[in-house]
Amino acid sequence: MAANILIVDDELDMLDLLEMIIREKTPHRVTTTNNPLEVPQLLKEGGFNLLITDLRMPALSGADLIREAKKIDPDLPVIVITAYGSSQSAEESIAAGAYDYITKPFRRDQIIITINRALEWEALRKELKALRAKAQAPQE
Amino acid sequence: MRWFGKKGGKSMPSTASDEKLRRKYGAYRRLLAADQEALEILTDLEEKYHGEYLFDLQYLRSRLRDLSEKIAALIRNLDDITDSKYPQLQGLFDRLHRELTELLARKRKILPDELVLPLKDISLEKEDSVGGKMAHLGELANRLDLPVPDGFAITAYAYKRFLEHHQLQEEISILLNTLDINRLDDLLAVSRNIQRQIREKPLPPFLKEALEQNVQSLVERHGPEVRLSLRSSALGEDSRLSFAGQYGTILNLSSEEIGEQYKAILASKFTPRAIFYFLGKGFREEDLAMGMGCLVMVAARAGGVVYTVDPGHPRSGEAVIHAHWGLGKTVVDGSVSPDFFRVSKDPPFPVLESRPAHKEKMAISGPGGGVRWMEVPPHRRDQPCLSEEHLAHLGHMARVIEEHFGRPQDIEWALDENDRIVFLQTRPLKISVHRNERQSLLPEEAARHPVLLETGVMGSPGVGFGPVFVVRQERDLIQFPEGAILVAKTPSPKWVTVMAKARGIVTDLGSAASHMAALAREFRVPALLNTREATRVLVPGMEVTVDAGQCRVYQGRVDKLLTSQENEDRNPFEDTPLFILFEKMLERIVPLNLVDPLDPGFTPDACRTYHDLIRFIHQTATQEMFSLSRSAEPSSQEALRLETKLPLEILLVDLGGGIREATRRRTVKPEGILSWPFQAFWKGIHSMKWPGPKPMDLKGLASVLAHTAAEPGGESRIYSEKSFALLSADYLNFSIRLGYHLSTIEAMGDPERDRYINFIFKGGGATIERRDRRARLVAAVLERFGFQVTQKLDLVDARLIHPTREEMETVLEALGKLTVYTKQLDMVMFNEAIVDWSIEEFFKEHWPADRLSEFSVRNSA
Repeated sequence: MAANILIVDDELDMLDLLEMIIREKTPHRVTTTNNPLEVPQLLKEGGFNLLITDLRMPALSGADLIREAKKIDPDLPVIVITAYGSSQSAEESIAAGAYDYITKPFRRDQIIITINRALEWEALRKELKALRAKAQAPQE
Repeated sequence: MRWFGKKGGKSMPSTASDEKLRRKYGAYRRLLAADQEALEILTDLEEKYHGEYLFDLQYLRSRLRDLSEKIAALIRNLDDITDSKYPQLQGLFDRLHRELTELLARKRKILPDELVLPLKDISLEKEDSVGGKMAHLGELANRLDLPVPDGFAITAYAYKRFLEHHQLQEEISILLNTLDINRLDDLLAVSRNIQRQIREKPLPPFLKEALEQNVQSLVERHGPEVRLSLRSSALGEDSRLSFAGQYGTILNLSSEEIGEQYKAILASKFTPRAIFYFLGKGFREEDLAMGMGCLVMVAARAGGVVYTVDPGHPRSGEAVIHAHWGLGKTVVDGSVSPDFFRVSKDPPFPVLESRPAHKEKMAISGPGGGVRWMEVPPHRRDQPCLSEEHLAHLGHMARVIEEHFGRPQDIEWALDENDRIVFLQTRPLKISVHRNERQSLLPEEAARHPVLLETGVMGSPGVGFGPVFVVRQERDLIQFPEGAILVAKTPSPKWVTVMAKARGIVTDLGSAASHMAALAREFRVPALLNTREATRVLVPGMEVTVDAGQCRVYQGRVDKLLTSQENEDRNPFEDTPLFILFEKMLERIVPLNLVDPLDPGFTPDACRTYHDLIRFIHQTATQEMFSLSRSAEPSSQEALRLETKLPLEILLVDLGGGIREATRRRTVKPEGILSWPFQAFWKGIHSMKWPGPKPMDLKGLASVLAHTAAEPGGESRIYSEKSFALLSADYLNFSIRLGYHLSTIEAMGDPERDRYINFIFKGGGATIERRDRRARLVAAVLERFGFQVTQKLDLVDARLIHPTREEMETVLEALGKLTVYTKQLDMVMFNEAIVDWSIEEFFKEHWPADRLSEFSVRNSA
């Protein structure tokens, strides 16, 4: 099932490369921006199944962005990309609610696997939520 | 000078020269550490380059920093060891370091240049002036003589001068600084502000004049009503800063509009996202790298795109064409469903597939400017826009253009009113190639191809097939056949001579961080290292398939693996700017030019890359260290002497932890030596019966060898030569003078480093034939223990790489025995047959077969 993925990274090269591999290897649709400030608006416009963000960007840190994103869409899975040699901030982002993190440099296969897992997780959560709602609905 | 320490035996007697030796040894160990780390970084970089990784600039910068640090350490330590014998290395390193740092700083200076260049003066070399699009177009026109629209390019320098003239750069920087980055509205406001300023400021007179001149030329050639297009042409990469909301191209302009629209396109680059981008990096010169092309509009009857390879089948040798009536821009921006054609790129360029679309509306240039839609006349709606001739022509040109640029192209074309194909643009085609997933073998296939080896590490990726050729010594390389699989105990960079012929490499020992592995990666020869048993399992002549990535060797030819490898086409990242940067970086780091230390060209001046520096330094350092004990001259008055009944005078220097805490005496018992390499070697020496005097005649060889008496009195004058041993806990550097012989053994047993044993033997005395025979014996014995040996007349040079500790102890003991054995046999080496007999005798008598099989030593029998 084709998902909508939003990618934020202030490094243009990384945006290009990520878009390229996701398009090449998956059926998913990709929207990219280098500007984290746009993300709340983009998320509100809706329709995204996954957010991938760099951790360290000017203006808004990845951790802050995750918190903002969770306010708008609590079920949105977030994957964080961390830089070479920095595991501490990665753990912080998990604490802020990220689904997973991946450290640069990473193999193409790795990011695809992580994306797919995150999307599966999102699908499961949605289903669970729907089932719960149904179970709790007043019986006729 | 201190002779003795305090009472109670604290410090050792030592001399200034001892101190010097210790310092050098310390420097050597640091050098070895830095060498290993440097090679690991090299390997890491190559892995990221070849292995489908996503990385960023930060990673490249960080690794470069680490690597440069290591090389600086290597140079420092080499200076300590050689007393600064190679001052050129520092200058060479500084230069490379500077080049690499600048490369990764990605600064692009815009140099003074023409403001405007007519198309006829443009070719690919002008890319840094006018950008990729215009440079490629100029190339088509001027190098390939293909029809393109008339026009000119405005250079990046013109853009820079424009901004400078109005001090817009400062203006923009100020605005960026006052920006509250957390407010999206601010970004929007700043973006509008900057755009407005650019549009409103007049062109500086010099630019206005240059533009007008060139536009006027076009008017003269094509009439006052000529319609023009403006196309932005970014420098370096198309995708830089290409955010939504920008104009790339404006069509159908009158000659008077060019100035204004030029500014409009420049202004449109400053979108909020672009502003945000500048926030992080600052607004720098390289961000001005924008050229622009002004081209005469083609009154296009039809237009479209050619891909010079079919993206779905890149190897098919076919081009695909999309075409529509009217302006080709509709095909490019996807606003129509165009005709589709597939054409062969081989003469006579037949049309292989033709799928005309139903074309209702087309885009044309409006009379007053701009572009508008028009209905397609009914009879044309289902008619293909291109005739067979046109299609064949496009197929032909696709071939020509692709070959010229050396890679697949994405070409925009138009059919003008004279029914002629005109080219508007060409750029590298971004192909998404699906790499075949790793194929695994079906059970039937697996049965046909038993796995011979399933171990080791990949030194270089890929799959290769061929007959096994075992290399034991360098001289075997001469016979290496084309297309063979090289199998050996330890890797050697000397194999570069056969790299181009080899289809694969498999070794018992070694690591991905070795020089040979780096070479294999460069030559793209699959290499599987450290299998421990390659030389045991893979037999000469056996045909095998090596799958380095999966660490397997199969019997026979596994077609499935071989063909799946062929289909692994270009890495689609290869054309991205980051990759190109990485490639340029690796060019100055990885290639190894200095391969053979015996080559007279193995000098500092021949170093071209970081890898060359690493290799030269490592090689030179090991040579220097090795000869330390040969040239050492500790004053015999003060040096420590080994206590032994053997008629040898052995002087010792403790490099650290080699000798038990001293006594006041100047002699040390063998038990007082902590160095385990020394102990192993000494065990060997001590176990042999010491050779007796020369018999006047032969009463059977057995009698000679049985002769036991050591005659310190009689022969001691021969042994008055001194032997020197430099020791540490796990290191031994021992030069033994024994009669006419000089052997030097260097054993590095540090568990953290690559262990090795170096051994040189030079005989003296007797005739040249005898010396040669003696050397031959030594060489033959060493080979059986797995040394790489070079023998030339009476000189034997041998090296054992990556032994385990147990293997080292075993070999050192054997070397000890061998050292004495050769002395024993001196008097009897009077013909070749004796030599062969003696070799076997050594093993029979002194080294029983069960001890020989302790480690994987090869006998060719």
